[in-house]
Amino acid sequence: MRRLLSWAGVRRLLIAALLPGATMLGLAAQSPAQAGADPEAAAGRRPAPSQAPDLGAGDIRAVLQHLDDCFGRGDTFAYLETFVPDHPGAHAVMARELSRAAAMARRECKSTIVGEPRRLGPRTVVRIHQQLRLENTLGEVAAYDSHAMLALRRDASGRPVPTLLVEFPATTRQDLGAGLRCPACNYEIGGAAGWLCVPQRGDRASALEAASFYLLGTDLACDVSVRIDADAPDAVPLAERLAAALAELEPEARLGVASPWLPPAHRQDPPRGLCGARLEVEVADAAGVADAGRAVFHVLTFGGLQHLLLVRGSQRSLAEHAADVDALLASYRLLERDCDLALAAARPLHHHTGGTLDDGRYDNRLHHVVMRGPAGWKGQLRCGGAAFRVSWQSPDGARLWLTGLGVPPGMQQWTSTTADRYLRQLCRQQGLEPPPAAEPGPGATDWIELAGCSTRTRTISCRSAAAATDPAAPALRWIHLQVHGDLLLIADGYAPTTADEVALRSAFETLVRR
Amino acid sequence: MSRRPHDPRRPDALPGPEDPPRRAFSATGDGREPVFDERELLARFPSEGEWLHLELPPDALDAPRAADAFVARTLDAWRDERRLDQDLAALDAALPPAVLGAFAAPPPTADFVDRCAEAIHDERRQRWQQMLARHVAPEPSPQFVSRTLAALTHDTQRGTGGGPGLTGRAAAGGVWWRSPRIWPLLATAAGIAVWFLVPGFARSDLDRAPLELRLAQRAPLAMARAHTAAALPGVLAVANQHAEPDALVRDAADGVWLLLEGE
Repeated sequence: MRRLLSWAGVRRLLIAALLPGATMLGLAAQSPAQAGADPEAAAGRRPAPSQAPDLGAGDIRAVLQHLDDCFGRGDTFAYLETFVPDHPGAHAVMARELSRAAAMARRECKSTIVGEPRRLGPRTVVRIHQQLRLENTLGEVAAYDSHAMLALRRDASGRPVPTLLVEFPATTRQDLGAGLRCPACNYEIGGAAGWLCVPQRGDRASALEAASFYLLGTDLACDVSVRIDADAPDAVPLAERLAAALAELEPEARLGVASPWLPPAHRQDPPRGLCGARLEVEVADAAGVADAGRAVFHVLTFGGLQHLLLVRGSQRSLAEHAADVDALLASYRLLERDCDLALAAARPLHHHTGGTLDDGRYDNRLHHVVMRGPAGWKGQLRCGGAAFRVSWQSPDGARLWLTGLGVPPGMQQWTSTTADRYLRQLCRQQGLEPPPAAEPGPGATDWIELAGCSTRTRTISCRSAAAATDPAAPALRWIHLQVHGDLLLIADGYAPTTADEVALRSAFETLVRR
Repeated sequence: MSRRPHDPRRPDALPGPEDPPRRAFSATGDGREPVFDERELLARFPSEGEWLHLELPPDALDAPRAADAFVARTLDAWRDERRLDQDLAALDAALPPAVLGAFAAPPPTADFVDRCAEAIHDERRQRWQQMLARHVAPEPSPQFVSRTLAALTHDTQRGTGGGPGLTGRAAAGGVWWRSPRIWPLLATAAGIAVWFLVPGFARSDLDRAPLELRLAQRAPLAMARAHTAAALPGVLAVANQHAEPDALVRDAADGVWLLLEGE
């Protein structure tokens, strides 16, 4: 009787009484199974921090075994029903990946715990290692390892339920709950209470370095990315450019006005050269309600070095947890305040990509790649989702790019077959005619195996579909590929004049992997 | 009046006039509340000379000293700072001069000063023009004049009954919404309004997806960024596309798609 009349008991009675009404009004969009198992989650409120002991490794292993069984059966519904998701976005993307795996002929997953589970905010967090094996209807197999962060809590009945599963790179030695510090990129952020730091995979980041912070127990997240731009734009126009890019993807988004902003750590005494801007964008939330979600860009430029922080979530969560968001933003700081601006841009590029450009000659010490650009062309180092990128431009407008791509997770090595598939996809995206089928003989477009090594090369030209209607569009695109087991090199470009085309094709000959 | 402390060597000594008043002390067991014996307490209180040689109470020996914790934190922070300086120095030592030169500011051109001064003058002149323009009414355009005159003429004619006016049922005093042609149009407009204004009515699955999924679905499945739960990669991909619209390779590939799903 005393337990029933306690505050927790009264709260449970109120929730049970209000739940049918809340469900009818659409305020609690949970399945009946979840509502019965966890009335607090079904009421749509953030569950109070569990007073039960931390989840042990045994509990977590049982959950992982259940998830692996569902994955092996291709039972996406059961897999997703196990979760009581904190973050709808991450959960939806995970559901999409599960559907993709379920469409395979066979699938298998073996999950194991790495290290000890830890309490972080209202959740127990643990690193897991997954051995995945997917087989399609043609008998082709992809076997690879994946690393992820798993967050769990106990429901009302004490049963462990997972709430968040996010993948991160295998090379990460990230301490759970710790912040992110990169001396090369000259910043650190994180360590604020309740925020889980999950580095992003480099191939998915579209940036030099990226990570996501999740406020456990809520639908809030903060994406952090590092970019280098030799044009060194100011923070306010950069924020407007990024918001416009988001508006291209989200036509219903409503853009705010960019305003100057500096992180709290540098407000009193801003470092020379540090510029910041903040811009809010209202987007539709997970239920399709317009303007109920929000994405807030925080842009910091230090010369050509750019630190981008995108805080996203529902407007309600942002208002409720404003103090937590402020704590995360307050944890950001430049490591070296009086760093030379040129050094601040050059250091992260060199550290993460390993390449240098000297008088038109590109030399990458990390991947042992050398290429000399055509004489008189201006070279520039670039960054993105690839291992490295560099471009050259002639005075007449000819362009040449060199891109190095590591082996994507899911594959063991690059082959000519996968390189051709990738190239066909790229040509389709860029509006180029499909590359010609590999053929030996005169004017060969077939793969050529270099003597003394397993490297295969291919040089082809593709016509641009846009050239038929736009005289200014380049008519022919030259593409040179080199497949090394652990690296795919793509050198491509176009030239409006014959002389530039000769120089372009000659530059392909200088591409060497030592 | 100062009080002479009770001398424990003379427990039977009678209290003098300056001694503190002695009160009765009894244990709790006989039902009466214990009372303080101030003389006994003062007798047990260490003297000034004994303070420095007092031992710590047993429970305090296990607790970390606040001073030690402070020293440890300070030393840890100092070591962390030194380690960071060493890391930065190592990065700088490995940095080739050519990379630094790529991002160094170029030397100023010969006409740099003149161009800057001219730009400053232009900006000043524009700023003054904007400020002054607030107080200067613009000349009306010829179109504005002709529109205004036509409207005045029209009003004048309407007032005198000489110009074209309402005709048909409306002119005869009939109400427009009684026209049979209006109702289908009104029904169509109402249907369109319901379609757009009522939340959730006939919305596609894509509109109901969370922001992260909507952004991921914009990217081709062949690309790695189509499979991330982060929102920023999609935005950066669009920004990179605007910066280099002709670039062929912008996104890394997804390994599972290349192996199992690509044609």
